[in-house]
Amino acid sequence: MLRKRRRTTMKSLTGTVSNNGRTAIKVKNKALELQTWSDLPDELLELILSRLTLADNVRASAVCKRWHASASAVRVVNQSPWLMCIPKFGSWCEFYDPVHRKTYSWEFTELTGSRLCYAKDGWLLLYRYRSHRVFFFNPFTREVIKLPRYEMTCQIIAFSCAPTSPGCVLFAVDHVTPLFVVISTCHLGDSEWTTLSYRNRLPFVSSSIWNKVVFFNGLFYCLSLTGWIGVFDPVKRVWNVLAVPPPKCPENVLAKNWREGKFMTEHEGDILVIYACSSEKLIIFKLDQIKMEWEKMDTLEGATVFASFLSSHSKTDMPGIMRNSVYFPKVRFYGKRCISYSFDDCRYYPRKQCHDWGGQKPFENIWIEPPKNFSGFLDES
Amino acid sequence: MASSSKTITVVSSDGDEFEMTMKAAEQSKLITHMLDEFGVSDKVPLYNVNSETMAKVMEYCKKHADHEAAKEEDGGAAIGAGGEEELKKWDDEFLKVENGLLFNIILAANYLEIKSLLDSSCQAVADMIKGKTPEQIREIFNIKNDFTPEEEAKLRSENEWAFQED
Repeated sequence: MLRKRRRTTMKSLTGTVSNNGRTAIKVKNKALELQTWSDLPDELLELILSRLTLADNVRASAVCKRWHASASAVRVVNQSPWLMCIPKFGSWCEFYDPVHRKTYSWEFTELTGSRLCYAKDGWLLLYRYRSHRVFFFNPFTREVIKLPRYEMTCQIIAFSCAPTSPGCVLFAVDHVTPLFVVISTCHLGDSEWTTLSYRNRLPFVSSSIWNKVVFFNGLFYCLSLTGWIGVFDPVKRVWNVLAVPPPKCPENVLAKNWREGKFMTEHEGDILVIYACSSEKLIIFKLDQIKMEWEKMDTLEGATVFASFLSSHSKTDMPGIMRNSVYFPKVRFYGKRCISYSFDDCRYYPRKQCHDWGGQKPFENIWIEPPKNFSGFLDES
Repeated sequence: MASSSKTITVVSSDGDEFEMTMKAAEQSKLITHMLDEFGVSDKVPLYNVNSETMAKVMEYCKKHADHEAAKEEDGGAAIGAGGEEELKKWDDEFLKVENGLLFNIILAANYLEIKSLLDSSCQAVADMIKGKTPEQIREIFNIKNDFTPEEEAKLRSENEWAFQED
């Protein structure tokens, strides 16, 4: 019945057209078009749909049943990081999975007597007090990578990428005086750290304690307690304090925790600093490096930020409920619910979670990315 | 082997013959394999591609073959980074055709195994889908909605966040 209708349609179309041969062909193609897109082979439809973000993929899956099958087949929901809690004493660590809201426990004797420093690409950087050694640890493979001796006097130390990737470099910055910083670097394979001091060209003598670091685009970006940004180029060995006035926190400027309630991350080419100093609202500032100023934002445009005191990550294409939110390093309700803030709903979950994030075990909790489909921790708490 | 001066002939489903240089022909893995089987003197039949689409594919292969030749000539110096960007811009303009032809180009690129054309044309279609609602997508591609109202409502509720109008 359907075929008969199609033939009639084609006939009537060509019938009404003039005897100009070219026009007839064009019309014939138009009629063909009525059948074509639905006849696209599955593999080609999947090729097209695999190039869409999660949001577009979901909308495409609502077009028709064929598109639903193809879109579902190629849909990628990005893996969420887990919150790892390393206790000060003892060797039993906990991992919280915010997607499934489950907590896992695992014993890591490799970590006793050491303090968390940084996390990135599924690897942890830790400092062992007694031996003055910094080392890499992968909790998912239990691989340990030792590094040259380093006497850590400062609070902030970071690395550029997984130690298994080429060009991994470690970076530590220490505030000595308001005029000078001491920067130590170490490349994987070096036999010792390189330590140099640099002039701190801050506009005025203020607290220049650097306590947040993000590595992005080949540079280490450091955030000071008062909101200034210092940039270190590990290749050129150049240190620069950006002439960008710190972002203004409009409410509760004198709140006890305003210095500690900051988180810094990189997202899609921009440096973001999140101010969590108010119990009502969260503010994000994006660094505009062209205008040399901070731009206030009230949305993450669908992305999710996983914030912890020592390091934070941003991710896109998280499961729907996690979108446009910030996840904090604190789990409540007996390991079931993580404190988060939603920019869609403009509220904390649970409500009004104003914490002194600097006081909330900052060196014990950190977000870390597990490898895809990791199933190593079988014991569920 | 002075392959650049040699040409081969391909035949479309409409019976039209198209001439292309060996270098242009090498853009297509299928044609390359068929040449190995049939030899250069014979005409290569491509009965899955009509003349309108064939003409477009010829244009693409020639452009990309010329680009490759220019790269090899100056040891890559002449092209540089700007050259790659220019080629990309050319590809974008090249694919600004009506949907029916774009559809046929995708099928032809797949059949002829021209990876770069397949990637670009699929991306062009993906760009048409980006940011659109399901209704808009159906209109662009003339696709019938075969979900029942209940099925559609269930789908939307499962991923509510994706269907919210800003």
